[in-house]
Amino acid sequence: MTIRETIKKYIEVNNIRYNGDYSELDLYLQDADIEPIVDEQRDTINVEIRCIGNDIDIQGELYNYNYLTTLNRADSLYYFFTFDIAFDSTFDHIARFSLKFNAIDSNTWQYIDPTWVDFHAVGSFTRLSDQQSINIDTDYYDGEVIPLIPTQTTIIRPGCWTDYLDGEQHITMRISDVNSFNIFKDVNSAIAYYRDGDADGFLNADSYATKKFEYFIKNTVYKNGKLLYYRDYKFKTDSQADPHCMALVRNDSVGYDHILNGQNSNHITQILSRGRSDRANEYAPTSSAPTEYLRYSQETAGGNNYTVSFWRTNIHCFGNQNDADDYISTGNTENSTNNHDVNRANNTIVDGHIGEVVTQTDNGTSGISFAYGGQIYALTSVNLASFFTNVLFSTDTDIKEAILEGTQLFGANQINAINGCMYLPISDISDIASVSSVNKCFIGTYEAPITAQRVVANDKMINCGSAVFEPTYGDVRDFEPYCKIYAMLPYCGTHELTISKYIGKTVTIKYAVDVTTGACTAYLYGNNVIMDSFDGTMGVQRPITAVNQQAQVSSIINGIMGTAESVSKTVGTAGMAIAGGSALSSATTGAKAISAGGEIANAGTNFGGGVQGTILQGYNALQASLDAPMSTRGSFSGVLGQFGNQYPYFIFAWLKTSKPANEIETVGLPSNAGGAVGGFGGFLQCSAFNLANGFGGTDAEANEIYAIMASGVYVS
Amino acid sequence: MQIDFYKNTVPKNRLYRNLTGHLVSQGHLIDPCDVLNPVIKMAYNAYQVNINYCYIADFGRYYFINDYVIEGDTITLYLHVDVLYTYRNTILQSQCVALRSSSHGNLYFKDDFIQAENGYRYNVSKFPYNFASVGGTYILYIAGR
Repeated sequence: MTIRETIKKYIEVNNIRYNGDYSELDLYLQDADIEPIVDEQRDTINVEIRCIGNDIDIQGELYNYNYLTTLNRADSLYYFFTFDIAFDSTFDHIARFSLKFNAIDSNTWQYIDPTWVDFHAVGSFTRLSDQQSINIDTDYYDGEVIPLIPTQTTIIRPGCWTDYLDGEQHITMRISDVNSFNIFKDVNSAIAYYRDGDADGFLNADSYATKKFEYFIKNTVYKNGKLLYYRDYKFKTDSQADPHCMALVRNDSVGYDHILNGQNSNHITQILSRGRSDRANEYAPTSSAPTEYLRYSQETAGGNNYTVSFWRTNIHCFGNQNDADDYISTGNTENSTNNHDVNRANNTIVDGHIGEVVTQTDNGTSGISFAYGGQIYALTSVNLASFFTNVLFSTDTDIKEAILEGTQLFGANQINAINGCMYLPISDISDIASVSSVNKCFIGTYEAPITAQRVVANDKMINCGSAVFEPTYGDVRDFEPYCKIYAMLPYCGTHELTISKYIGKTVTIKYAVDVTTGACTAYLYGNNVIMDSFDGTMGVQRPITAVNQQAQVSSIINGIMGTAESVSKTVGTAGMAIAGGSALSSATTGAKAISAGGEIANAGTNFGGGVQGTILQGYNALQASLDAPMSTRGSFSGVLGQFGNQYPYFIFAWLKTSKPANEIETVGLPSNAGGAVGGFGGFLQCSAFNLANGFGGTDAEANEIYAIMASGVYVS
Repeated sequence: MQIDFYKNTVPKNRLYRNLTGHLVSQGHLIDPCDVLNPVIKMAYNAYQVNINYCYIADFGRYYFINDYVIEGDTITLYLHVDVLYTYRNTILQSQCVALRSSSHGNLYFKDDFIQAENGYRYNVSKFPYNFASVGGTYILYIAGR
């Protein structure tokens, strides 16, 4: 028996249960306005639907229709039915709900690509075989809990149906609006995404950048060397365009806090956290206010307790509040440094007087006018050919006579009115000069009928673009000798640069080109401050007269000689590495350290030897690798430059390195911090140690303590 | 002389100890006695081979038990003073400059424990401006009005 029914007003379908013989639906109706409208007889199966609500009990009647049948596929008997539920106009759309029951096994439920029209979404569904619900996260909402362990409570909303495609069961959903839900391939994909940020199985990640609504911080906090927290934070916003960032802010009472900033804090709709002990469980709302939720990661606390914190995050981090505010208000990321280090945050003095922070350096501008007298014209190759063919070497007698008439001022050397011709590898001359378009040019007083652009002033620089060079490791490996940076500058050569000038900054390259000589200078900026500049020759003289030819050859020779001086200049910091190794070796000389389970007095030597060996191995490898990662050279001359790169490049060469994952816990990090031993946590190796007053031991005991502290001890 | 025996489960290079299995016993010194490395002879108790640590109140010091020698019904213990635990309060108050630290490390200091392999990996950042080796501009210099 099949009955088609129209249910008006509100309906909520809850708790679909399969009891082995039939399924039950509890339909809670707010309005009893139910009118049977269509009957359609079909063969029946053993499915019973019970509907309860507002004193309506329609037990034994099946709502609605689509079709009702049984399917026997893959040796499984499927009881299949569908039905429609129609809402009245106040709800303004029709929800369709269908289910397919698999009596044998219904553990595998998957989505197919939904058609997002006219229907609402479903939040979750019940796996019928064991009455467990699996949240499929289609109606993603702030604070939603993603259960790892299915619960028995679920709500199935209208708008979901199953289908049988290619031998697999599916659930299909339709919604009325543009999809704003996260859709996952399966439940595990949803869990992996929310827990780890793993987007595999995130079906609509590309088409709808929902991920940008979420920011995360995976935060590990150590205190006195002990793992205090492993806490994941996830916070959601309702604005994709709202920038968020963290700033390192000084708090005099507790040290440095990382403070979350947002353009409009109201956009931060939810902050969830998950601690170390419950990592396997779901996120839970945190009670911390948005601007305080990272209080736990204070880095210093008045010298008594130091906390080492690490995190992986997709949030921009800034060294101070001003940079963060600048980013929030303007979107300017030029000061983005991913900087969590207090010293680096304050180390922004890049130029100028000591103590004065220079945020920008300005280039001068050439004010020389070429409007009169010696004039400069910019021509295309076609126009140049026209100039030579139709003007200068024209066969037209009238033109010849006119040119000679107009250049009488030059006496017998009238050709000297043509001062020269040069090719510049710049397609748009207005990149380097202010120009005006003309359709004639003067040779002396003769008006030559050619179309050209006349250079009025050589007053511009080419902006080759910008890039932000973010640190890769966030540690010493982002700098020499572990990393080297080279600039390959067209017509200015290849040069090694100092990384600290550019890392973590917006790097800009500009070219100044001299239209009178073809010389050029490449300026390299880090955060709008000139860090380096390199000279070269861009113009190629195109001789017209013998004097021009001689000048060209001379310039090429000079250029080659200049290049020879700088060619094959390899990176020269190996000496620094050796020096560093020696210094460290010296620092550990004589240290009596402790090896696990060994004698204190003797085992320390082994530890010290180990460090020393590591130094030698590491820096020997460094030294060996530093021979020739890149060669530098000066600029080219003549046409040669046109065979080089025509785009500016920055090349990063990273030494392949290995850093122990447990370094902090086992041997700590290099330090130069001073304070009471009790203020340190975990491993501590001292370069200096002063035993406090009140020591009542012998000299031998004091010496042993000195030796132990020099070789390393675990304070906590 | 009273000796408090313990089992210490914390490695020696710690400033803290985890002491369990407290056992109080009597022993006497074998002359001559080095207070930093005393040798104690006492009646043998099988439990004593399961302990590795002791405190001698008369000396005011904690000791590691480095070795046992059992001879009939007596046992001889070879001790070495545990300076870290004995003077831990003084040490914790002492000033130091850290060479390496788990809590006060600086990621931007040169780190001996970063090993380097031979060879580099390269990344290239290309800037958008394209110089025109073909299709550039000819500059013509003319003396004219």
